[in-house]
Amino acid sequence: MAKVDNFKEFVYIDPQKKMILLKALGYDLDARGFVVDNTRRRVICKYTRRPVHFNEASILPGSTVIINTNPVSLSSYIEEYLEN
Amino acid sequence: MTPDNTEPDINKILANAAIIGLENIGKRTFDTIKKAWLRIDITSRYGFTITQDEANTLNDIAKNPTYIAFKSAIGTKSPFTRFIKVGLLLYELNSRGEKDRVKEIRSEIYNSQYSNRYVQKIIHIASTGVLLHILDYLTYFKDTNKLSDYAIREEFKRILRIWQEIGVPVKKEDNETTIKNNIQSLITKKVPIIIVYASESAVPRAHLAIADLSNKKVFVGKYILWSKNLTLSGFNQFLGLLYASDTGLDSPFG
Repeated sequence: MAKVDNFKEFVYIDPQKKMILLKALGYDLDARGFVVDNTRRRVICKYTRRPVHFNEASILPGSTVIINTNPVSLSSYIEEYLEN
Repeated sequence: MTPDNTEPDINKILANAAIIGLENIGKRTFDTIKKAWLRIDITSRYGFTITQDEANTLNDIAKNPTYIAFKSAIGTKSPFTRFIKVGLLLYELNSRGEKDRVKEIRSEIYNSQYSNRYVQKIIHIASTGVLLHILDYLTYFKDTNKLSDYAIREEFKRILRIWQEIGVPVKKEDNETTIKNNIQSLITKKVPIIIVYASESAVPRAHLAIADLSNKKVFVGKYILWSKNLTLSGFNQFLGLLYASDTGLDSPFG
C-alpha cells in the first residue's frame, strides 16, 4: 500500500462506532471477540503476527488495515504509511 | 481545522450510524461508510485507535528533524527506527509522570518477540533522554567524516553494544571532581567513545568538568569533543561526546 496522504490525526473510537466501521469494511467478530474477515478467518496483525481482538484493534486511515494496538505496532504502522 | 464541508466527515457519519444502532443499519449505509473511509481525495484523514495520545505522540516524533535526519543518514529501512520512536515516546510519558504506563510498555517490549539486546538498549538509552542527541551526533559524524550509510548503522549498533562501558551519567549529587575522574578513567581505558550526559541541576557541573578537562588539553590527540545543550520535554539536558581521534571509520565504506 502507498503512503497515506492528508493524514490529520489519530482519534479515539468508542466500541459502538468501531464495530460499525469494522462491519462496513467487511469484518465481523467470532465468538471470542476476535476480528474475522468475510471468510470467517481471524485477521492477523501484520506487526504483532497475532490475531486482532476487538478490544485491541486500531483501524488505520484510508485503508482496511487493522492492527493490534501497542506502541511498537503503531510506530511500525507510522513508519510504513505516514513517514516520508 | 475541520474537514471541508463538501467532504464526507467519517466521524459524523459514524455518529449518525451509531444513533440508528448496528442492528438497524442497512447495506446502503454500510456502503456509504466504507466509501467515505476509503475515499482517496479526502483532505483530512483519521486513524481510529484506543490509545490516541500515544499514537499522535509517535506521529509527532516521526516529524522531529533530528529523527528525520538520522533516518536519512542511515539510508535504508532500519529495524531500529520503530523502537527509537517508542523509546522517545517512553521518555515523553515519563516526563509527564505516567510512570506506570512506562513500566507496562517497557515490560511488554522486553517480554515480546521483538526483544533483543539492541532493542533493550535503545529503550534504556531513550529513557535517559540522551537518545536524540546520539542520533544528532551520528548524523554530524557521518557528514564530517563522509561516512557511508552502512558505517553509521554499524556505529549506532556499536554504541548500543558498548553503552555500559562508555556512558557517563552525571548524577545530581556528583561534584565536578567525580565527573572528571569518571571521564579520565575511561580515557585511560582508551574506550572509542565517551558519552557524558546530564539533566537539569547536573548540567552546569557536567559543563564545567568537560570545559576544565578541555582547557587542560586532556583530550588533545586522543578525543574530539562534540557537545550539545537542549531542552527535551521541558527538561534541560547536556551531552558531551568524546570520540577517539582515530575512529577506525574514516573510510567511506566504514
